[in-house]
Amino acid sequence: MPPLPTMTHSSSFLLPSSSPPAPPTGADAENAVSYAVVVLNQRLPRFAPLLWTRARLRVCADGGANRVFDGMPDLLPGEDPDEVRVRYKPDAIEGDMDSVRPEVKEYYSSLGTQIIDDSPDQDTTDLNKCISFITRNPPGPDNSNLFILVLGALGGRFDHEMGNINVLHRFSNTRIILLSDDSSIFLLPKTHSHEIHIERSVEGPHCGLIPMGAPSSSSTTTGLRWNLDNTSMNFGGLLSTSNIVEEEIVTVTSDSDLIWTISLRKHT
Amino acid sequence: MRWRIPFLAGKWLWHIPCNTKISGISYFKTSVLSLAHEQPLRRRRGGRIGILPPRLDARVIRDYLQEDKMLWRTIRSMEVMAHSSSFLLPKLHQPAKTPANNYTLVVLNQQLPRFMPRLWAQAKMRICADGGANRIFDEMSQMTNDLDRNRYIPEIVEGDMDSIRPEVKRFYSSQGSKISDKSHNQETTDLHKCISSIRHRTPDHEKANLCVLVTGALGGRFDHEAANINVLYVFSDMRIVLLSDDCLIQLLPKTHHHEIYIESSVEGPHCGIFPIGAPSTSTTTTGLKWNLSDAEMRFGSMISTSNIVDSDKVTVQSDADLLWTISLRNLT
Repeated sequence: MPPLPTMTHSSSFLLPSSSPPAPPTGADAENAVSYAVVVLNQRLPRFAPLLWTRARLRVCADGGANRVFDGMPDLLPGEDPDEVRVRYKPDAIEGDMDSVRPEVKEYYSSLGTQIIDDSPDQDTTDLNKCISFITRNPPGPDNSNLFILVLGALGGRFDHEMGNINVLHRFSNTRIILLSDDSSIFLLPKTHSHEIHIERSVEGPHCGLIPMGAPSSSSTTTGLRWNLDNTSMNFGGLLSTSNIVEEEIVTVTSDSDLIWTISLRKHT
Repeated sequence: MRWRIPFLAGKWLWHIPCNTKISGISYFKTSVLSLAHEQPLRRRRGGRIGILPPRLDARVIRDYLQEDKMLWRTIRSMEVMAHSSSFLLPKLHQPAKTPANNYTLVVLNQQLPRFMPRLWAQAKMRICADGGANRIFDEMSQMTNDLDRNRYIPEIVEGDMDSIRPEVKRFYSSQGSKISDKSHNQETTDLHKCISSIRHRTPDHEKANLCVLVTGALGGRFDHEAANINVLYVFSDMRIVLLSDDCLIQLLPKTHHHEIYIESSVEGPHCGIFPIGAPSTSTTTTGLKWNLSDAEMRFGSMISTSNIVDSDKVTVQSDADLLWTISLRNLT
């Protein structure tokens, strides 16, 4: 059986702006990574301004616009709130518009934000719609090096969280990372073997591998304190949680799609 | 001749002798349902059960079916499991007989939900898992405007003790809490240890009525959340409900038909059903705005999120273990 193609992962987008992210492969401009940010309707994580400035496309899902309007000035307390709001203006607000406050919608609309009014659709969540929008309107020449960073996808109502995790599985060919104050999670599709480059200054050491959708009869890792070695994992049995990252590169191969999660460090 | 046969699982079988013409039906699942709908049992390889001896009792039927173990398990397992969130109601409003009147409360190390005072007051027993004790110590008095910490003493503080502050541990110990130090065991989470002890301490005859409510299991670090959800699967024969400010979640094991009684004053309307851990090839529900009918569900395809409860009672049956969630409201 031919070896699986390798997929590399890096959280360099979390590095502070004084250390601009370098793609792990040291690629030229054509392969440069581009970021899009999606903001869902939960309190912004503390690194929201950093990611926003890194991104070339920013989309708010409905009430996510309220969070940006209220939350960005709070995260940048030394600056004038009105200036912050103008600087941190979303490119689009998408959804059925039942959560975004009318004055917030007016404000951003007057600044040029695209308002996309979607009727509620049982089959697709807000995040799903935003991902579709971004993949149809990629900020770079194509989607091959596009990373979609999602804020506010974890916590809150559990069915929303599960819907958001399902989006990772449905768009398994798109790099989507769900971020909260505490954790970063993304999908490791079984079609690839994975190399995860750890940025120790901003993430770790706690990590985990979770077979959300289907059991794994064989997963193998390197770089963790408790590595898996052809180990099976399933709900009701063993999951890899509260593991510890020990090396700068973690490798994972599995016969099942896995969710990788790593804790984010709390900066002072 | 039709006989009504008492059956071990509390269900009734109808047996129709083989000379009677009955329209064909497919085997397993339909056969189970067919018990309720008065259709005959069919052998896997076609044909009907032959004429049974005149003296019919459960033992005869069981022996007869022993050959067909799969059908036996299917029939045996489809007992109804009833669920109710009446523990969320103020005590005066609780119905007289509820499955979850006597619950044990486990407090994990996250910010207490706003309805904690009510949960605490009505619990049969209270266990703080490690840093959960810090939370009670710090936050309970703010929630109740009652500065007297002596009124909120857990019966047990359990876990690996790496988060609980020393002064908090000393305080509860001095107030009579049993301190159960499990730091030698680093293989399992604090919640796992608590559930395991609860189960261990419960006499067999009380196990069926056991219900455990857990706060602080959701949110926070995602691997902790996944491990806490896994506890529901590992201890799938216990009623464990994870609670947050926004919702509750509990396991619906595939071994049972589920009847979920909705307390609409405190829960709903948003709900969802998820095949976490393994896909479902067939799930059927009633009582939801978007019901499932023999539907497939799996991550990567369809799962039921942002559904709406449309009735006082929701029923679920599935070939996979499912996680049920419903939003909470109006809880102070």
